[in-house]
Amino acid sequence: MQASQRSPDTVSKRVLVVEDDETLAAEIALVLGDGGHAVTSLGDGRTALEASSAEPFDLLVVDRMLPGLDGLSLVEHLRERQVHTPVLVISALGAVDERVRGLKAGGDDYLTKPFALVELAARVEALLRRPQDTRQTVFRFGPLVMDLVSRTVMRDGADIDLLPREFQLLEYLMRRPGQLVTRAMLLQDVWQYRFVPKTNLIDVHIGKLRRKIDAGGDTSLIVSVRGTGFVFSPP
Amino acid sequence: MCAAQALSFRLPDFLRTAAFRSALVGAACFVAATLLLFALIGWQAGQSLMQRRDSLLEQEAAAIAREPASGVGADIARRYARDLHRITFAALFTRDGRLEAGDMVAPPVLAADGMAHHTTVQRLLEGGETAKIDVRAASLRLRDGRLVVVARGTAELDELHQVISQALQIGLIPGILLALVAGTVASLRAMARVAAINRSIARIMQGDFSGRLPSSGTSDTLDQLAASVNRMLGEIERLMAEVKGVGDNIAHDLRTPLSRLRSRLEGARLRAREPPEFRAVIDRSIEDLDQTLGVITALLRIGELESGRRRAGFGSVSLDALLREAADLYAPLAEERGITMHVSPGPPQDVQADRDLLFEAVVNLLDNAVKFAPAGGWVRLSAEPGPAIRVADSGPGIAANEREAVLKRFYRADPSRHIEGSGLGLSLVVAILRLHGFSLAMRNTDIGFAIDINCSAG
Repeated sequence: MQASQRSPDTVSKRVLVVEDDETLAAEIALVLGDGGHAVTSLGDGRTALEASSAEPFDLLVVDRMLPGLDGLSLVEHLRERQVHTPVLVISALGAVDERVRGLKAGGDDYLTKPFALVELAARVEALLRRPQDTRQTVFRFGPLVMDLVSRTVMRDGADIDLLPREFQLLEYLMRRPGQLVTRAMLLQDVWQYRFVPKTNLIDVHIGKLRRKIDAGGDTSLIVSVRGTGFVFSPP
Repeated sequence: MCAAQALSFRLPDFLRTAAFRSALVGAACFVAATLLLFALIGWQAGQSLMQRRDSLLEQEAAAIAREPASGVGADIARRYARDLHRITFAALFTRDGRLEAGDMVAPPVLAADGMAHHTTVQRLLEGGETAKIDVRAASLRLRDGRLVVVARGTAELDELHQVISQALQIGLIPGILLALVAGTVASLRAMARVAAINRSIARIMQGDFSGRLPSSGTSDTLDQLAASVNRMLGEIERLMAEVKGVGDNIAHDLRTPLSRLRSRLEGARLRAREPPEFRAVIDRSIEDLDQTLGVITALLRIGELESGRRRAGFGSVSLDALLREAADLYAPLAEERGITMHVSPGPPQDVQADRDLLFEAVVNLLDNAVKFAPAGGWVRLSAEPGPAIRVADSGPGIAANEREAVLKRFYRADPSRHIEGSGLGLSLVVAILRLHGFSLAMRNTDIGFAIDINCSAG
């Protein structure tokens, strides 16, 4: 077991990483530790089941293939014990059916190995900061206002004409201000695609959206994070 | 121990072949049929012989009975003294059962109806001995109460049966031997062919995949089997060559980014001084690794599709909606590259497909079209009768002689080598279409290039 340092500026959460590959487990612990979370690492399913039933964790990162008790059975047992801690399943099994199986077992998200550590960190953040109030119908960030009921977006009082997909994309970003949203997350959640197109389609779509909402300002409301994704960052 | 015992009881190989076994079965049938035939002949001959003898006995008994009462005894003595073989004999008994003439000890158990019956008699032999003999005998009671018995031993009949069974043995034994010899010859020949086939298989198993099974040229069962095995070997050889080609291509496509990666890391190790330099090198290295991993992921996906495991997602897919969505997805990219995107989704119509996979196939073709169409060109996505999905572009297309090859894994038509991609896009499309039973057709047109996905399964 190892706990990383807490950084003072973010809300620290308790994350349990269940992964038997020690190198990968250590890297995950470090990157999540950098994000300000207290990370506990365990290498086998049975110990992890006891630990996660006994202690209150905010999130579990669970590998599917584990000694003792496999990852999916671990999640199923937890759900049977009425433990509803969000679970991010990581697995080398990337087939679509496997992903569906992972989510059915009670996982909240499924990430296929090999993955970028930033991708993992972004997904962990997304699970930890799930949009709380889904009844909110108006988002207002600086000059930008989105009304979910009238399906309109305005900047400085002027209507912005968005295609349905662009609206969905912007809504997804505005619900997660300041949070890194990866391309894979957008494909999965906005487009609901299970595959990754070869070209940088997402960047092109974001670029188009940016041109519509930024209105020629110097700094964009949607900031690109090199090689990873985007952050909606209101001024 | 058990194995050793089993070995010691093992029959010689030629006795265990199918040919030999069928020869044995044939021989057994032959024996059974012959036995039946001879039994029938024996029975028929015996019957007819017996009937003739019986009527003679009956006539003789009647003839004796017709003699005057005083001459009966003398008649019997006269009649049978002549019979040197003493096959037929007779006796005259007094009313109280005493022997008056002839050579029977006592009257046999016999109805005195003048008809021949089977019975046993005690016969008096010369020298005073007696013998019990199986006979056919007829007896008649004279008017004065005396009993005339005429009998004939059945030895003749037994002899007949003996002759027939001798004939049977003489006929049967060579028949059985012939069947065994024929069986052995057939068996040895079959074994020789199997041995030849085994030798060929051994050579093939040692790695000579161009080897084929020998044929005797008679198109018998074994030849037909060898022919279909040879066809299978041909297919395996072709696939092996293909797999080897694919394996080489995979190795090549993985080695290229990995060697770049290696030299970049080595260069950084030798020359980089400042953290930003290292960071830049690491970023590029991660890109190379991602490209490598992308190739592996694509291969695994194709493998998953080709194994046909995924059929669960099949359902009714609205073709027009699918085309519109694909066009929407690529419109910004086309716009950015200065390419006009046209979409004619056609009237609403459904096809049976896995929507996600069919969409992925269309997107792959669209991705290529947008990549290959020159700036200022166009891409058209349309529904065609069939139904079919057509992706056309104003690009150079694929030369006719390369069309087959581009569908294979890792092949990239040379002019496009500078364009990124794993070279697996079309293989993935083909794998998806194959899973659906759909087909792919491509052709150059006057104004560009067109690929059709024909969505009528079969």
